[in-house]
Amino acid sequence: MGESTALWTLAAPGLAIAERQTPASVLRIRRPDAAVIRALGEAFGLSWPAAPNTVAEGAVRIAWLAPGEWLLFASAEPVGEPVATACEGWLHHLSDVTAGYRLWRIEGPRSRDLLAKGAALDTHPRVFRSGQCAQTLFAKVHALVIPDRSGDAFDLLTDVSFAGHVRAWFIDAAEEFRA
Amino acid sequence: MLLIACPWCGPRDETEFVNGGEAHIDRPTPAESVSDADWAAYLFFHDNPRGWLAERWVHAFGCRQWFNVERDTVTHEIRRVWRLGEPRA
Repeated sequence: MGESTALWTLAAPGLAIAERQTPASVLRIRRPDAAVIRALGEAFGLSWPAAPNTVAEGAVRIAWLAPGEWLLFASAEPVGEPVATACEGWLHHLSDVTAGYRLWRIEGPRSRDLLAKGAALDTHPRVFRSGQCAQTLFAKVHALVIPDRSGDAFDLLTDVSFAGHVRAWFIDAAEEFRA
Repeated sequence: MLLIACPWCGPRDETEFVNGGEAHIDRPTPAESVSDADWAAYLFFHDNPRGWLAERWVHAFGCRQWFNVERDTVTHEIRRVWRLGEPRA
């Protein structure tokens, strides 16, 4: 996954936040069966995340959103053809939602503490670790949370229209870590 | 605060959910011959027991799926969660 330039950053002791644009597409398939899941996995060279709240990472990172619905961290153009081939004969659609989201990278030993201030989600590594994802309310905004392999970093995806609010929330929430 | 076990996402905070009222209500059919009284009963008159009630919830800020919950309206205890289309008991 190529890292684009950060649009905004914040640093505090034990904490680093970077806001970036991210390519994103939503794929919906009407009642997918094991065969289409397998075909998608083969097309993308990974084990397709068919289980609720799981993430798979190959050339493209893919997150489960709902039954028959996934978020692909890629614009629709490069994934359009492999998706269409794998889903042939299935009622499906793929839409590019790149313009609608912002990706927040939260890193550092305090990242879990910061997340806990904004969401009621249980982020303890025992129940929430790499390979999983969750949609929840973060700072009163709908967010997709994806824990990183390192254990103390998270990716957060929120609607672009809330970017100003989320920035302001981070500034305020990080204040206590400076003390 | 309720902890609701979404059939897809597992236990999540109540703030992620929206209540959809009483579950397992049969919509009267055929629509063209249902009397106003029956239609009003379907729309407006629901059980409101002191105790166990089967109700619908939607995981609005999660997987956006509807499902059923059996909740005690006094203690807020939840004893069963099941998907739409699954039998009540």
